Amino acid sequence: MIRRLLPHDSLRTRILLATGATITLVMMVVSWGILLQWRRTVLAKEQDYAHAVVQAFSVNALESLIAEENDLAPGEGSLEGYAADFVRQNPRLRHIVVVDADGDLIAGSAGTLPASPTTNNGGTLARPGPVSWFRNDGDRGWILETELALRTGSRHWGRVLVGIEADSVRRELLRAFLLLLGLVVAITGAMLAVLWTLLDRLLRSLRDLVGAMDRLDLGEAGLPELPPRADEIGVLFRHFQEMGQRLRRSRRELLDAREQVYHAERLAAAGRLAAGVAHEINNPINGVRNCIYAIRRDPTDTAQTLEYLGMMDEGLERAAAIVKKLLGFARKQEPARQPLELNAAIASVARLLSFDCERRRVRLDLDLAPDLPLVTGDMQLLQDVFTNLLINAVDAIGQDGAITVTSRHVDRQVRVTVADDGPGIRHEDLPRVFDPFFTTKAPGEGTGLGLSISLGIVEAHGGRIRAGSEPGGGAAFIVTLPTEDVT
Amino acid sequence: MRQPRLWLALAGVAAFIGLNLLVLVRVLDLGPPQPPRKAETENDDTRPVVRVGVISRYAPRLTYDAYQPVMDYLNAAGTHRYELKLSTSYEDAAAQLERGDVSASFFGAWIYARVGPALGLVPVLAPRDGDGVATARAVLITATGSGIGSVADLRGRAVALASRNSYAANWFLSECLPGAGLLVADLDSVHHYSHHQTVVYRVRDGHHDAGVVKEDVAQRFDDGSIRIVARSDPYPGPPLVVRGDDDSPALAELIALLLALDPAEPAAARLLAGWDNEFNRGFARVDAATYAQARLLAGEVTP
Ligand SMILES: Nc1ncnc2c1ncn2[C@@H]1O[C@H](COP(=O)(O)OP(=O)(O)OP(=O)(O)O)[C@@H](O)[C@H]1O
Ligand SMILES: [Mg+2]
Repeated sequence: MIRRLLPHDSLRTRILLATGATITLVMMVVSWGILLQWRRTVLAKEQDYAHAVVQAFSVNALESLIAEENDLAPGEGSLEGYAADFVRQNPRLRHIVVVDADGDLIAGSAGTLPASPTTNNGGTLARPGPVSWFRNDGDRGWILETELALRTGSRHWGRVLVGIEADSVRRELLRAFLLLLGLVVAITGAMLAVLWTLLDRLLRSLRDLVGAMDRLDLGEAGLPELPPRADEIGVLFRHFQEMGQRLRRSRRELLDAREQVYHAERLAAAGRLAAGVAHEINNPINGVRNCIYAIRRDPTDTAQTLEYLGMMDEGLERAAAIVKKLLGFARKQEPARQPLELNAAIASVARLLSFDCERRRVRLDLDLAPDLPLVTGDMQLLQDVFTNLLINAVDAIGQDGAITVTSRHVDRQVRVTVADDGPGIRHEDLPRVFDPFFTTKAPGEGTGLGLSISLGIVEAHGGRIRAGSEPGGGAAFIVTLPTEDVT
Repeated sequence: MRQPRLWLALAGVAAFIGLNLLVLVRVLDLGPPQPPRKAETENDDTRPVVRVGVISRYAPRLTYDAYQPVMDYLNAAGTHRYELKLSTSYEDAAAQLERGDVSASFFGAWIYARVGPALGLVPVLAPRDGDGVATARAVLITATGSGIGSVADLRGRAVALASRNSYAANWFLSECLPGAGLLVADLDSVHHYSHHQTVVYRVRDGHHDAGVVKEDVAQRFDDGSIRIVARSDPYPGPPLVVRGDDDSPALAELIALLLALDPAEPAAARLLAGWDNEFNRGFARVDAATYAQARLLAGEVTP
């Protein structure tokens, strides 16, 4: 119950504990001060009363003692009667005792002489005025005793000892204590209850806000609803709503900008491709034209014509290969956009190439993250990318080696690494491997378009492709693609 | 995190309860606010006792208040223990002297003059004034606007007097009134009060037309509310009397100690300042002759 009301490390528990402790402490100190002050007043009042009683009685007591000593009129026992009367008239009086200078009991309403600290040896009191003290007299409860020495000049006649019950005073003090304690507890409790309620409302508002933050979906049309409020919490709510709107606006702008970049990149890629195509195809065409020119000059030389025809065939074949590759890239101008599992794409590519790898004794290791999120894009094109990368790796290795394909989910992106232990890429070639028609392979073996086309595809998917190599330590190509939920 | 905070809360509650219990115990223990001082033992005075008699006209306590300081002085200065012995009448006082219960006794001037010589009592000391014995006068007073101009005007008037045994009252009755040719029967009424002061008050507020008091008492009312109509001859103050045949050393010490008080000495002056008005200038030696005039007036009783 307590744990539910006051979870041990909540803000509310801490505030309530600290406030409760402080209030209690302050209230306690204040009420003790009041109590002790009041106690002092009450006790002083009691003593004043006792002094008044003892002084009133002492007049007659002294008269009687003097009369007795001088054998004057008032007879034996008159003081006794007077004491009895006095006790009757003052119900709080417990006893009145008169002792003479020798400490002998002269008269008293109490049967026995009460033991008091000053009657030990029947000596005189050191001071002239009444002396009071409180005493716990066992069964008879607390008693305020007051003693007054009876004197004329330096002549000491005896003492009057008056006992007044003090239990009523203690009861009064106990009542005051309980009242103040009750007040402390009640006020502290009330303040804590008020504080608890206020904190509860505040924290509930904060929880509402946190809930709204969790529900915030920039893709959706509306923002989460929060109750309108006029206080500081309301201000917080409003600012949260405004922040949500700003976020959605900048997201829209971001998407627009990316669309533009995408267009520009595609145009640039197309331009680069066109220039390369023009250049590459121009070479064989020039060769063919030279051959035709040579044949025209001497059409009769059959041997030479046959040789030129062969060369023309070779040149045209080369042009056809280029065109064929370009057609493959251009076959789908608009890539499909659908969620797909990259691991599946990699796996199917690896299957297709497994025969080739076995033949060349190249080991192909797949290290695919099982929890890979989906990416959006064209399955066919992305498979082409990995096919290119793997073929390049196999080509670079030639015989005997290993290729590792790794897929990972990193920062809302999927990262696929194709690493091999082949000869690697020369340092000066590294910036150019993605250029169209850059190849180190023998003429007729590679067109130099593979990486260029792959770059185009990856960028069209909003991703990146990088090449890394340590000379002699193999090469690695890293493809990163945004995951589906971001795009 | 959770354990320390729980312990903290428990410690707080325990401290709250503990502190409150402490305060409760402290509040309810009335204890001695200041421990009563240990009683001092009175040294039992085992010296031989010398008793001095006083005829107490007022409440015995007031008599003690007036005479006890004199005893305190004697106790401190002498080799005996001096104690007061009160009596209610001069007969008692004389009997006490006769029996030897008291060594000396303070008598009123008039009562001594009247009965002392017949009882064989001798005056030895009286209050002092300068070099000689202090003398007093009795005065007849009336309220300022009463219209009483002389003693003769008292015919049919109410008169307030001091005590029956006072010199003032007896001077009025046996000298003043007869001197003006009046008898007590010519007065409307005569009333005796034990205090001279009461007489003045009663005259001033109109209960009586005139009153007779000692002059020094009348002089204390210098606010113009009373007027003096007649004045007696001076008479000596109240004597300390002894038996004529008592020549004990205790009595000699008593007399010597009282005569030794000289107000010119600062120490004695300080002591006397706390004593009753009547004898705060010390004592002077007197004898029967000092009271000759008074004995005439008092109508001395012969044995
Ligand atoms: N894994 C690799 N190791 C070493 N060099 C590589 C690797 N991959 C690519 N290269 C270098 O980059 C060049 C360009 O590769 P790209 O795939 O674009 O063309 P290609 O493979 O030469 O020709 P094509 O792919 O048209 O058959 C290659 O010629 C080769 O020099
Ligand atoms: Mg290639």
